Amino acid sequence: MHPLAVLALLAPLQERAAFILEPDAVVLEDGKAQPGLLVLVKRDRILAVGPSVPQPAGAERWRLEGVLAPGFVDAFSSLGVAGRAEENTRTLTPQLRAAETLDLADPRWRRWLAAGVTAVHVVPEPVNSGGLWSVNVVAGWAALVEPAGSGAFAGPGAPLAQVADPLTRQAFSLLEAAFGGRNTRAGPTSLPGALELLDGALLAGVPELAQRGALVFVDSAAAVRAARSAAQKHRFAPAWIARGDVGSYGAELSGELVGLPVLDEASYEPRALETWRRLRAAGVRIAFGSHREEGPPPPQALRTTAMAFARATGDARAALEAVTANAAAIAGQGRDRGRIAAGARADLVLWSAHPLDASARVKSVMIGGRTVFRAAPREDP
Amino acid sequence: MVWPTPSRHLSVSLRAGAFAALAAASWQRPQEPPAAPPAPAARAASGRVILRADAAWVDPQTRISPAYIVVADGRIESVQSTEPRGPGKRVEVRGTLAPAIVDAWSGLVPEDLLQDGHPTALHRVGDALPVDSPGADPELAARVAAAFQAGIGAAWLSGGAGILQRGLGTPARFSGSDLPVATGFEALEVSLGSARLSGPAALLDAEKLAELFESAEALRDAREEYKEKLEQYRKDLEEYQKKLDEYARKKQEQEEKGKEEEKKEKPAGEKQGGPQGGGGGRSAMEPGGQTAPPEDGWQRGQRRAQEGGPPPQEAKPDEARKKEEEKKEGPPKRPARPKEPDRNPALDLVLRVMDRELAVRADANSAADIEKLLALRERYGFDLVIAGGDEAHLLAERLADAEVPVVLPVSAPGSGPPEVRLAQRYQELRRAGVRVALASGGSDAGAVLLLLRAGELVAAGSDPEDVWASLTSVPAEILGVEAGLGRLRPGADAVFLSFEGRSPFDASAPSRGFRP
Repeated sequence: MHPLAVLALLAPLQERAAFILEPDAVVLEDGKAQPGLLVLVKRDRILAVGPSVPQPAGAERWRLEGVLAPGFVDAFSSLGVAGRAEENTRTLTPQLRAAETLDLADPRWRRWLAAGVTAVHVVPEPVNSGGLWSVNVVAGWAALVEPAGSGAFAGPGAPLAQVADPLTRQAFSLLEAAFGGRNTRAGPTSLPGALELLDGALLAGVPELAQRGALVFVDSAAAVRAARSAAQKHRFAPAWIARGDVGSYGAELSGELVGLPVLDEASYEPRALETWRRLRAAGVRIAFGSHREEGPPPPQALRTTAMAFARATGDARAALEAVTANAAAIAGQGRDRGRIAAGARADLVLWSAHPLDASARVKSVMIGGRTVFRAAPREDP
Repeated sequence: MVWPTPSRHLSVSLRAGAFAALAAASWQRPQEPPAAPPAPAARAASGRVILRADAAWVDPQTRISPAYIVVADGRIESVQSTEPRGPGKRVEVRGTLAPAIVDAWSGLVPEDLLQDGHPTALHRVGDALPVDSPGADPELAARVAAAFQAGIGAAWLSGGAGILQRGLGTPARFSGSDLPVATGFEALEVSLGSARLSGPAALLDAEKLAELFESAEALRDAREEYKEKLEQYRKDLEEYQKKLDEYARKKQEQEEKGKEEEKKEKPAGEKQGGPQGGGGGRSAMEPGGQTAPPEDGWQRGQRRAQEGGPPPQEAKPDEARKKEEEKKEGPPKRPARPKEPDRNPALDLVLRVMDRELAVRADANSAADIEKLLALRERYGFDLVIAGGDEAHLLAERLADAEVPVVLPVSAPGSGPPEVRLAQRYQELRRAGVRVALASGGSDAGAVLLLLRAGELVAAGSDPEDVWASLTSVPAEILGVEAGLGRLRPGADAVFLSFEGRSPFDASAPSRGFRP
């Protein structure tokens, strides 16, 4: 990084002047790396992007070797949660906040930052772990968390993450596979029962539902139809999180914004890839999230899944959107994050090559216009 | 238009219009690949085809730009950077052409082979492959097509896992029908206990493999001994025949002698007690007027023995008895045919390994097992390939000294401690000079992840040429198919990986398997 950048980074955020980034290329919303573009940043926002940008007085220009891309966003995750984000004695917990279950000193935050992730949407658990209540029909509030810098990029004892938004969306769960579990002694044992509970909760009023919409966990066509009906009745916009065999009901989600889990090593099977292709062909806007029963996957999982998606579908743009703009939209932050455009947050990652190039590595990470991570220097091959 | 050199870091999308401006009118764009694999006839190379690509990765160290590759009858005729002369259908290929990947550990075998948890040691994967005919195995063809689209042009096919000896695996090319066709060198496959197996097979260890070799050696020794015994038997048989002939001759002589003596004695016998003269008198006649049959030499000998009676035979040493028996006028004893060692086809395979007709491909992960394999190899001198190798990097120097290559799977659930990443294993092995092939590890998931994981090795600091070699030329050598695969050179198979990004690892741009 340019030596002047180091001085600028040390300045408090509010006092920092604007600066202009001049990388080798910039990854825009079409997913392609465009050379010859400049990015004007002031405070935590991108002010302009283009072959030429306004030059505010005092703005420094930093030449960067590499490709500048929007930071990755994890659409739905359990990263950093101490224990589980759930209240397992009730099936309706609208007051629960995932933000209050976080361990902001979890060292994984730094590893995810180093993997190019600039925002993580932490969600409450959709399924009850204790078995008393089979699903958390109304699970509570999801939260958006930003990994923070450490070492030279943060004060001593500073947390490794910070909550950017503690109340992004409410999470509802209609996972049919979880109804009537073996150990269930209470809670809904069928979809109609869960819908009855959901309807009651919505009639009683879920705060800010209309403004913020809701995440809806589904795993069947019936669940999708039922949730859509509830959304129309109670006037909220659902952001879908699809679980189970998505290929069996994906047609119901045609044209929708849908979160899909990242694949682990053993899951890259032909059926999974074919499901991606068909969802894409059905106009589904896909976002990838790392939430899974056994805990967060390795930090590279988001990017690996995106690359595999690009290879399987031939659509690099959709692959990049799945871990940037679409994922941010799942978290209700579609305008602010996941893209390099005027008005968006300056959550930027400098890569040695296109972020979907498997041989590329993270060189530095900027969140809100502030560099929070820089990889150890190495001679590029 | 200046073609960007392959060393640039930018991923620059190709400007098709520029090519159109450059290209002569005779250049034809290839059709977009159809969703379903086309009929073999449509894809089979017929006549001469001249491919023109922006660049070609000829081998891990050599790049040319632009690239003209002449293909005839499914094989590369020439690779050059200037337009060739001569007839041929001209086809423009967007992007870069590289040799197709050789997957040194693939699961592209018929489903029933995968399900077979107990193949016999004699199981030949090559025999279990379907006939290369469209529709012979649609499910396998679909998987092969998917692998080909991922850039894989050939693979090592393993038998099912589950026992110590898994039979003979084989390298295979992919036909126009998207079916594997066995080619190259078979190898005897073994799985040691540390490999990713469950159940009783997981308890097997290198000691049992060593016992197998010792048993094979013992079988060989037994066969050598049998040969010698057989040879001796033949000689003994000849000798026996001679003795038998001699015995028969002597017996004949004795009989004739006996008859003569009979004749001499007969007249005296007749004078004494029988009718005189006339010859009609009765001699020592049996009652009833029958003449006792003349005594032959054998009978005479017995009579004399009875009259004189040799003293009772005392227990004598075998040799003395033998000599005595030889003196007696008895038939010689026929020599006994030596017993042939039992046939053991499984051990025969091991013997072929010891004779270096077959290599051994060992699925082994722990350093202890690998060490024992190296010791076994040193003792018996066979060709060895290590597959899996979670802890192979701990023995990198020894593997390099022994020139034993290692096949590292990029996707292997449960393989070793998570902190020992693929990058660390790969780099340590390569630093020591071990030949390393990167492979899918026998799963469809691995095939999807192969290029991605290889790219991550480059991101982690590995030399990109090295990594590319580990996907192409090195596995081709290990599988014995280097003449036709792994490099773009005259005589090689015309099966390519075509990519539009800055490298095959770049998923931001299209890439696919390509066969003109």
